[in-house]
Amino acid sequence: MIPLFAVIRISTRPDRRRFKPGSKPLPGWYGIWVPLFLVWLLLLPLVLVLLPLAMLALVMVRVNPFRALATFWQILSGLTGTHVEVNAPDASVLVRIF
Amino acid sequence: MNERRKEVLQMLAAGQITADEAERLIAALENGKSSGPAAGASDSGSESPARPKPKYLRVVVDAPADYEIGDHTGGSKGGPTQVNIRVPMQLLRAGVRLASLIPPQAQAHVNEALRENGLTVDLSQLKPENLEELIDGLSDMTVHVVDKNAKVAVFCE
Repeated sequence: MIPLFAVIRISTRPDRRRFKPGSKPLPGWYGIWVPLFLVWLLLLPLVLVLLPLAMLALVMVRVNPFRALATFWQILSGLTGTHVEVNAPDASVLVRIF
Repeated sequence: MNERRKEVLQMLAAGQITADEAERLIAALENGKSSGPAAGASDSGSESPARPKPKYLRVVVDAPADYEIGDHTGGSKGGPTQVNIRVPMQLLRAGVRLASLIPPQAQAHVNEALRENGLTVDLSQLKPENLEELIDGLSDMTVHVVDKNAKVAVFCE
């Protein structure tokens, strides 16, 4: 399934405490929930318009367009579950996609 | 129990599992617990236990406070640095499949560039099944680097 939400949390304060999934944001953390499903919905008309052109371009460079689309879809789906967390002395960043 | 042992032996005879895997399966049957992995066991539809495929590739870096990151990255000294990355294996699979989508015209250029840098890899020979094997092989990979400055662990879970 393609990702539906992304959570991005950034802290520029020197906070040594690590973010715990499911917990409330720590003081000094600035977080944002990105509703990716809305992004996909907004992009859908654009994708439908550009899809024939993209397929034509892929055929011109002798790449199987269906395989390319399948791979692209798999990459999109594969993003679900990604977790990147960096706690450095000066800043901390957390990116979760689910 | 004998039926299951017979199934394992049949799988071994059919080449679906290796002798080592058969031995572990039989040992697990004798012990009455399912601890043995078998790569082809799940495909056969039998009740034989199979090791679950890892879902994520993890990279964990733990550098203590006295490690001066600024030596390498321009950062500053003053606290521990922790990196915790979890990448879904599905994303890795899809990513390596991109290699098979490189247009034939571009493959020649890439091959040439790789050869110039000492890598004799022919991208045209990369098949999706090879890439699957590559990703499956990652599941057995574990890297632990313990240094006085930092600990790094790369593993699958």
